[in-house]
Amino acid sequence: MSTLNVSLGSLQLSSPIMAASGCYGYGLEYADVANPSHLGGFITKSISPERWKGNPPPRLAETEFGLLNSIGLANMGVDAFIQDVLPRITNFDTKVIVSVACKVMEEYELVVRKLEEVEGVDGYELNISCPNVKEGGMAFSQNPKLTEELVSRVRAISNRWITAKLTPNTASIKSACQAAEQGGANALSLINTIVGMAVDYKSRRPKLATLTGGYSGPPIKPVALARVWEGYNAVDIPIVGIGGIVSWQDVVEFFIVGASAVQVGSALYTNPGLPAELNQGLLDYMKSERIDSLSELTGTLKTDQPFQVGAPV
Amino acid sequence: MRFLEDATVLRNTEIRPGIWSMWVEAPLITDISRPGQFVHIRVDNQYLPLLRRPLSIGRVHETEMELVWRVIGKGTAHLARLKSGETINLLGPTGEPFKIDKSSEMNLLVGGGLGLPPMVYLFEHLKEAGLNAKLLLGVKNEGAIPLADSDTILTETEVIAEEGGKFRHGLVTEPVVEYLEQFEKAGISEHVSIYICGPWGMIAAMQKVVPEGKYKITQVSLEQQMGCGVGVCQGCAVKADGGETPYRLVCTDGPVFDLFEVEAPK
Repeated sequence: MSTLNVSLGSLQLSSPIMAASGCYGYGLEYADVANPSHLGGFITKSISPERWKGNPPPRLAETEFGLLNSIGLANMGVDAFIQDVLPRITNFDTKVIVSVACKVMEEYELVVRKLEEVEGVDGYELNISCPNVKEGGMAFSQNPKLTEELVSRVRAISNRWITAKLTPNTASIKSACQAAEQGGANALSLINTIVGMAVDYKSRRPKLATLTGGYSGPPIKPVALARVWEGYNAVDIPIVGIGGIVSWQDVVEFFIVGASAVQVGSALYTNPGLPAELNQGLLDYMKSERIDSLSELTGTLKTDQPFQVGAPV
Repeated sequence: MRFLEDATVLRNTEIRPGIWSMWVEAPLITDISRPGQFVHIRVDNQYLPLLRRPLSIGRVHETEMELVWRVIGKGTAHLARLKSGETINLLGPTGEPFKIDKSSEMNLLVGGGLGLPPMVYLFEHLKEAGLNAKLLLGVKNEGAIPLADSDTILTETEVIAEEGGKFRHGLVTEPVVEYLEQFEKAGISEHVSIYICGPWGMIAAMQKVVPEGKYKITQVSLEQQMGCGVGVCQGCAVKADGGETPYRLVCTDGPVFDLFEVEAPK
């Protein structure tokens, strides 16, 4: 009997499909057009200690097949989230993972301490990989020492499930993955967006006010697959694959390179009903291939080569 | 309340070179839509282009809705290829509609180029409610008028063309100033409502010629590069007063704002 249930260590999901942070708001915005129960869980818009206004416009530039954004983590802040949002999403039949993004470690602790006092939070995703803020952001994830210290400091104040969302904007993701595992993360979220630019050739101006932004959408899937495979070979904790997923075949590919669940992101803007479509596609596939659990696929890439970039000449 | 609705294309016509008018059957969305709102259109099913395209709701006649656009890229070109009988997925109605005050003695509607369609929707809506309304359209030239020559609404539209031709020559702000003087002489200024939709240049010009605080309603509908259309991605921010931060979202705080809240990009 095929089931979509998957396990991410201590976190059990009814579907391997989660909604990525920044692509599902606070869980309420899409509720009138798509049922949240089709998601195994969703990761909230990143929450900071107080309201953040975000970056100046323009914040978006659509490229040929993908999307560049520089939102700058605009969000309502942890107090408003706890007071105004959380009571309205706790009855959703899906796991609520709160993304936390701050400038310094003390703020991560402060936000998590506040969230520890309330019910309805199933875990945290530590966003230490945002490319669009000057302080904090991906600087944490690019430095394994900072990654380990941050994760361990949050671990020290919470028994909840914790995943660290890491940046692909490094030569190798291996040491950051191992640092997060060492710090006590239950899982890793791979990957956040890739630093990119869009230029208007006529005006010679950048299309984003902040010059660079984070690139997402179907074109980044190959980058994400490589990072998930690299991470899978580096750690023992489960990996949540993120990057350009639009079809159930994409989901299966992420499992093959080592994911135990996935997040869908930019494609939700276009198709809020995507999670339900992916669930159905996966179930049909599992039945025809006689697969009981998607965990049977995790890390089944058929290769005898270790993870490597390039090959001997 | 919003719907994801598969609308059926009824007619899709190039009304001017590069400008298209498509009528679709969308009973769910048209049942609750109001002038000023928009729909977020899924261009095709392959995520190519990735994002939906936001278009203002043009005229609504019972369950039929008009969408008007200029072909400027792959997404809008794809919309132009749709044939009668095909379906298209709409997310809507989205955004805050125009405020309407039934005690307004005159409603002055000013459209600039492709900003006209929501003005036409509002114009017909006000007329149906028995209210006085004038519809002004500023364009570069005749080829930029987002109405077909055969369209009866064109006879009710005062067209002002920068290049003149068979229309009044000049900028749309010129007749606006004349009307405002007439309203002043008639002593009805405080009972006049003004609605605007057009490019930033026109909006900035209107901010200069319309005195703040004098009229009943002064609203403008904005356009911005948009992601989700429902307030999730925070991508369509514009600089505007009245919110908790210096930025407000076109998709859910707008697209309709007070004329004097918004700041043109530098």
